[in-house]
Amino acid sequence: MNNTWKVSKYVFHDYKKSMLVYYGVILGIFILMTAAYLKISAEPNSRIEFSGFGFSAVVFLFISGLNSFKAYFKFMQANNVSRKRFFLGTMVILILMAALMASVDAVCNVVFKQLIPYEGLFTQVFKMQSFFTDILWSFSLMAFAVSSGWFITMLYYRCNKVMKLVVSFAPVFTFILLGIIDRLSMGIVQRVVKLFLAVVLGSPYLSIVYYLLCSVVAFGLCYILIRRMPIKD
Amino acid sequence: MSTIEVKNITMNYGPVKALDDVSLIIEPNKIYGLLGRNGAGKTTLLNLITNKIFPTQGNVLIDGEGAFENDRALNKIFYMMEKNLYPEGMKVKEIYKWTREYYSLFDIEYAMALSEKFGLNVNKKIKSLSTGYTSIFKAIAALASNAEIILLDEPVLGLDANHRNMFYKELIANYSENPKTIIISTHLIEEVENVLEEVIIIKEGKLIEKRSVEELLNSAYVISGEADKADVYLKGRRYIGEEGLGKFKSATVIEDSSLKDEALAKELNLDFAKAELQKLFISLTNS
Repeated sequence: MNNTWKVSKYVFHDYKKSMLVYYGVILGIFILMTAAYLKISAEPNSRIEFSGFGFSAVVFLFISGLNSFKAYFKFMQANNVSRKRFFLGTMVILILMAALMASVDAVCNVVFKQLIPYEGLFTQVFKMQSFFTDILWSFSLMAFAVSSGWFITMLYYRCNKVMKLVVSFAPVFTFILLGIIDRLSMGIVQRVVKLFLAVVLGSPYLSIVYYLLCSVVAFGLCYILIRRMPIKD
Repeated sequence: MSTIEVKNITMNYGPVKALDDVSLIIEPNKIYGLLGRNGAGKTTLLNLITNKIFPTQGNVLIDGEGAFENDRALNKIFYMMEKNLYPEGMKVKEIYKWTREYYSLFDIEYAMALSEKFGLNVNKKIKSLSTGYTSIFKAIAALASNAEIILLDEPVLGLDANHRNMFYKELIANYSENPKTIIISTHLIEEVENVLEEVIIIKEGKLIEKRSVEELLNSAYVISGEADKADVYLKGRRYIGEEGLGKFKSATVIEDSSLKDEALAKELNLDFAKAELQKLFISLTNS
């Protein structure tokens, strides 16, 4: 087994428990939802619909990305694993985790739908049902979530105190700036954002391409950041 | 058998020059002592060899291959850092298991046996280990790694005298059974003197000495006897480490031991003794 897989193995060993706990919680919530559905549906004129597991998987992966740097990087440095190898090994396992969770999510959507009135994230956004497109779209979204989480944590780790403040406030300043530009330009920013969302969310395939491109950019930035990453406390 | 070649390494931290054009070759299967005063650049040199930091200038070769981001070269080295890089919530035995993933020759049985010998509880988490036991755990991981090159940065930090003695014995036993290149960076020169074959002395970022301990010790000798008579012998000679107790006096003469004036010493009733590495080190790094 080469070092890349050994890095992946180590990172996955740590996430295995978290994933099992996550799916345990999902199963528990599903059981509660089923019980609630059986009780409510017995009442006349009742109407109930469930959703939201897909989004929780995206959040889980974003947080996983946020937690996938400092401790792993230090352990790999303790074992003299190169930064390049650490990057590859971690990226591979994060992508595989996104693929696994996207597949499990799509399967869950199908199973849940058989038992309760349930709508997965893909169906909610695109008002359509397609098992494989659902997996692809969920995978691209989850890959983007995990890669952006990884990028943010690396950026914070790399920055000094002043830069950390700049990075933290940058999104707020960007929103304020865009608001000002929008007001001065009589709504051009809003129009651009609406057009962008219409294009990206208008077609699942364009959405997949968009999220995958964002993931590639996030992983690329991670690689640039890690190349000469110092060891910090 | 692995050779480390450090070529014209310079390392700047802002305006501070931590290492200044250092070049040296670490030959295989020898035990080196990396000596220097606080802030001399010892840890910086070890960090550069293992890619923990990157030089401003120069490069490091392991068996002729550039060490920069080179897994094959880096895998030949086990670096016991003074800093703890291991996950605090992980148990000692789990770390041994995972270290074997990266060092295929890591000997878990040996690590377990050493842990028992040192009284290290392998079921304890890293965060619950004392400073001394953290050093013991890292030193055991280093010895059991079976890497061709082992770099030890302050390996006996926080260890009591008994454990330090045990560590040196284990180090020699390990080296005798399976010769390898070992570099020990330490301030406890007196203790480690008998373990070392060569010394590398760094002063203010510059390499000032690299030779065998024997050669270095032969470059000086100690005379002792009555103070007045010792002064007669020392007149016109360069000496350091003058020590007096009542009428008695001893000093380390900086002169090749083959040049000592045995006739004069006999006439003055003075005794000769071997120089101490620590005194020579103080002399070399104080001037």
